[in-house]
Amino acid sequence: MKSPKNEQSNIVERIINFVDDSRFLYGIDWIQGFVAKVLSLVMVIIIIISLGDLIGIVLGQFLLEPILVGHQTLFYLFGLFLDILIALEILENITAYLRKHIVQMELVIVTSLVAVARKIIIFDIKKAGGFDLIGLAIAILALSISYLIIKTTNRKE
Amino acid sequence: MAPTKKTKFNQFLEDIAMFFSDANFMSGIHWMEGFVSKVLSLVMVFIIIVSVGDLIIIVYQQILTKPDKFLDETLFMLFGLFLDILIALEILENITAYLRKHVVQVELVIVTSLVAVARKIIIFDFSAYKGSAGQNLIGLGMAILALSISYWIVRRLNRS
Repeated sequence: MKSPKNEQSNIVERIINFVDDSRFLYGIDWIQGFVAKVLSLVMVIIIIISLGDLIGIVLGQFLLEPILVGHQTLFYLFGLFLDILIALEILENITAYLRKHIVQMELVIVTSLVAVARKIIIFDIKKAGGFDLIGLAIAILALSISYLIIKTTNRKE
Repeated sequence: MAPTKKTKFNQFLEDIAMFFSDANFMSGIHWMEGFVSKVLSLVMVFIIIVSVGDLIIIVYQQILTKPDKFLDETLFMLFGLFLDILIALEILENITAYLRKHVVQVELVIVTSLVAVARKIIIFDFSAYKGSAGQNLIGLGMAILALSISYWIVRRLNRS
């Protein structure tokens, strides 16, 4: 007749064991790694599909009207290239997380810098005015100052 | 029969587990990134070659059709085309730099945007924006200022 009581204490013990700090953290760690891997796989799929799209669009543009320079077509294509570059950068963010289990601030800021730079490169003054450009300029300024702050703070530690 | 089947299945599971082990997974991602940037470079090379061909044709036509108005009408249009191709080369440089180090290099991205903004300033046409020209120019000025400050910051940090 000792079994029920024993079993109960066994379960309690297991729960306590599970909630024990190191094991709990190990489990959380495992889940984080798993999620990061799934995210990277999805990102890889996205990148490959966009790459296929890009090739299709470039060839389509070329067949449709072989003159690329001189109007907004070229900048439209530049935008697509930089899109994929940003996707690669985000993939880099995720895999860096996989390596160190820390979202690396520097990488995130670099990614946003690339994104803002993309907007500036394909900026069309005829569509959006000078005020929007001032906004982008302030965003670049803020991002690079925060890059400076993070880099110097990390170096001191 | 049953045990071999089981071991085969186990082997399969182990293979999958092996693939998802951190090191293998990372090397797979690394390979994929290299592949993507190579394809991107090839497409960009294609675009650049086509654009250079276009540029030559356009210049040739302009010279043939209106050689007398070359200076005051078409010159800035042609400058714009040249700078377009320069920006394309710069983006190609970004992609191949990514291929080398697997990091998008901030300096290069900033330089590319600087070239893009400079292009806009070079071919800026006051008569195209009546009324809002000054505001647009202020925007371009701010953008150049911000980009060069951030270039300075990035260079200084990466050097030391």
